[in-house]
Amino acid sequence: MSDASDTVESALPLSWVEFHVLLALASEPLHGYGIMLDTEERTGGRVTLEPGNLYRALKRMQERGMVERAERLPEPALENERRRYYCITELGRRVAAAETRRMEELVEMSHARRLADPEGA
Amino acid sequence: MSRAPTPLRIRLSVALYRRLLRVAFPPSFLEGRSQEMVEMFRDRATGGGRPRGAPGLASLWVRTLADLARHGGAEWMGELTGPGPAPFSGLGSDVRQAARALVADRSFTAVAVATLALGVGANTAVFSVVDATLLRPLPYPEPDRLVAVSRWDGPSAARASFSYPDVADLATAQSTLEGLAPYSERWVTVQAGEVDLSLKATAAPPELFRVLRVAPASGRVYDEAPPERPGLFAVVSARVAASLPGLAPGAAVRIDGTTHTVTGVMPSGFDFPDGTGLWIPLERDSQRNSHGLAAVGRLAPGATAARAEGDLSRIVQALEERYPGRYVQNRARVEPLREYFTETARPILLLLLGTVAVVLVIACVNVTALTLVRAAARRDDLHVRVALGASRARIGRLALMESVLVAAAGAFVGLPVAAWAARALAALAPAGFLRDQPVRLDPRVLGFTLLVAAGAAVLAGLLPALCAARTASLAATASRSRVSHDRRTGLLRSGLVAGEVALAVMLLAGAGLLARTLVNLQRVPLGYEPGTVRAMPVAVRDPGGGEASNADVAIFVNRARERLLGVPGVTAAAAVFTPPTGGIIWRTRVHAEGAPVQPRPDRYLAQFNAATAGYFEAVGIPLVRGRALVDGDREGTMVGVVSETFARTLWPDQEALGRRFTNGEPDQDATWVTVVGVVGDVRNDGLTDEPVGEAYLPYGRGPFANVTFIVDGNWDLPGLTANVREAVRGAQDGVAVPAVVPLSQWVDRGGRTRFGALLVGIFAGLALLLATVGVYGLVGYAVARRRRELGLRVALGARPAGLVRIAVREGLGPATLGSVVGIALALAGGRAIEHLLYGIDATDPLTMASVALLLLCVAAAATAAPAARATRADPMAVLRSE
Repeated sequence: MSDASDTVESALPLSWVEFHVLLALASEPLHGYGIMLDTEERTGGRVTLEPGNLYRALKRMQERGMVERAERLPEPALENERRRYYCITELGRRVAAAETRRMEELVEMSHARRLADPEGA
Repeated sequence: MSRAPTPLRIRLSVALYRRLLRVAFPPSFLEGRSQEMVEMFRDRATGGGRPRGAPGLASLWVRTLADLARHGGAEWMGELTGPGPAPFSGLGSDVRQAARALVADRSFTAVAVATLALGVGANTAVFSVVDATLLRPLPYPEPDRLVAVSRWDGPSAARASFSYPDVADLATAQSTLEGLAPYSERWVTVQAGEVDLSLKATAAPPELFRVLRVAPASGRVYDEAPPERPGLFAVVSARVAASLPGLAPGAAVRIDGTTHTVTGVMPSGFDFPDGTGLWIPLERDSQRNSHGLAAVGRLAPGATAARAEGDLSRIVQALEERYPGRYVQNRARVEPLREYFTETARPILLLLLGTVAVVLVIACVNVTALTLVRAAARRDDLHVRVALGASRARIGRLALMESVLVAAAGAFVGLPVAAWAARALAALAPAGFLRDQPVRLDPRVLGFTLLVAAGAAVLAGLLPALCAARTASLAATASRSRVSHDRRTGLLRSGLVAGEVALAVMLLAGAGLLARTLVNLQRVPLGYEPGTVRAMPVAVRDPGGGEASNADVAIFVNRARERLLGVPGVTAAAAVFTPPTGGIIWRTRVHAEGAPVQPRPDRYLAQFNAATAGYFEAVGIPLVRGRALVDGDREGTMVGVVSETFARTLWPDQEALGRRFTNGEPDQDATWVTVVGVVGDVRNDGLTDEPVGEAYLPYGRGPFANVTFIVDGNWDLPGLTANVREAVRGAQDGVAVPAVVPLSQWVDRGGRTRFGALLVGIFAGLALLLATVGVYGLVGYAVARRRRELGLRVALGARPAGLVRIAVREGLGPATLGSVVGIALALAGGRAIEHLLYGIDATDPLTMASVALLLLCVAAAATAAPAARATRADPMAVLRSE
């Protein structure tokens, strides 16, 4: 399956927008506004995804296959709403996992070199 | 569930956002997404059922606009550079592809590059001259604070010079300048060993160097001259110090026969005002009516030229009250120094800049035409590329890229051409016209070249790029509308022909007017015959260092003349104070005996000259009535010879011979001059102005301390020049004779205008050449496309001549339109060259008609040639080749 892992590798490193989108969509499909709210909440208001920024990232991720338009709406009741929902794909999950591992390695190295906390000993 | 009605401000914002989205993002991005994005915007504006208030909405808009600009722009960039990972990586392949296409089509590329090289090169050359003369700041500290101060004479509406007391009064009373220094320039003879040099010297007080804020590189500046006596010191320029050995502080140098001590040497590059070789102290002449000084000042901090002008004008008016009659309607004029120095050059240089710009446009049109022709030939290639998936944008981009490469190559090739041309231009210019600044390709000039090349790329490439893109889209839709496409291309071609012809006509009309002006100037009678006459300017000084007395000068002059006449080979010798070509000029107001006495400023201003016997004959000034001056006139009754204008002005309906005039007050102490002869006028105020009346007195009878010897003889005789100089030198110890110059060299037959006319003519000729090539190419292509039809018609029996006639008529249509438009442009722009014309109107019909006719003939020839060739071709070969 080197083909698949190549695709995952080639998507790294993710931009911070893309990673937040994957985080938001990890638990449930969301529409654009929902992704923005989720990210704001998760980061305590530090990160706001503006529409242009967000939808460009969604377009890129759709083209790469990490994200797709939802086939089914999470709640049938919401069918009437003219909203498009996005959900994460299998590839998207694998990419998110790989990105997490990459960042974990970096964090470990940073701790080892004592860069994480310059104040402390 | 019911919802509260959305407030108006939210609804308007959403509508606005929807519209802005359409502009900010490319259509391909918005497909399927715009609705979501609008929804998201509305959600944020009405977040959680609580619509934002005005401040919240405003802050949302700030973030939204930033988002639209940044990300919308980025999407557009991605769209224009085609699919690919990074925005600029596509650029490299575009360049390579364009370069390959250009190299494959070598003949097109060569012609296009050469054409643009000509256009860009010409513009760079002219701009570098403009830069050196008009734009480069003067080489002094804070040069924009330096101003030229002059006296404005109301009655004659012209600048006038100052006297020393004038400047002293101004300097004391003024408050807007932190320094004001008078100066005057003249040519002097400098002797070092056996070498006599003729140099430009500037007489100025030490204040001049303080105003300019320049200190000597070695030594120091001299002190102020003592009153009424010249200070016997000098400061030399670096250039002179380098060329005359031993000129260092403390060295002695003979200037006009008097020994001066060098006190300092100026740093290299300093030669205020222009080409000065040395500076000497200014004589503090206390005569208020002895003018001839210019003045330069430095504005005090915070002052402006306008305020200084007002302040100084008030002082001048106060002087009029103190000394009535001397400053009638006078004001001061304060101008930035650089503008003052470049006043004569500026209009001509700007005209040249405009001319080369037009040449560049014509060159660009040519390249556009060439590109269109080439594109039409490559249409099939284009269709294939579209079929393989190239987008409209990409095709257009490639076409533009080819044009950019051609323009870049043209600029590159054009730069050395420009460098050479700029130097040639500067060499052709009349002396002092371009302020002797070295012309070089400095960063400003290179930046200009880049700008021009970019402009050329856009101008020449935009149309073909758009056409290519449109052709691509037509091909993509497999449209059968080839006919309408052809018609549009045909209209485009006609438009280009008309445009080129119009521009060429406009330039040629200007060149024609200037050429006729030159001819008119050549025809203006000088009033004398330069012939083979040579002149030797000499400054006479008392060997003790002071002014030579009038009597001494007269003695010297006549002794020298006798010696000259004794030199074998000399056929004529005389001396004059102001030669016909100008130099030191003395003008003063005269009063005719018996006429009603007027206040001095209202009296006739005439030029006073001194001459020896034999002068008029030597120089070819015709004697109209009476007699010329003879040796005996040095003594006895004061007599003089006057010019026709002088006689006509003072004695309009009477015979001037025998009448008397004076330049002083007509009281009992007046010195009256009796007119014994009337001679022809000499154009002493420039070629195009009416001559000023002139009165010639014998040497010794007035303050004439300068002498120019006029000598004619058999110049082929070996050693004659040396003998002539020796004859003058031997007449008095220490007299220096620097040069024996042909008088014809000094005659300025409108040097400025000739320079302008020459260059406009060159560029107009270039424009004509380019336009001819362009028209030939455009029409030739049109004819070539119809070869099949023409071949058929010949095969069916049509007469070739008749077909050629038809083709020519078709080609002449746009050319005629172009000529008409060109004439209209020339008439409209006539005002730009009006000031350069002489003896001809800027709207001269003959010139306009001739130029239009010329272009039509050229266009007809350019049309007829390819048409004739097409009809002569073997019809069977034509039909077979299709």
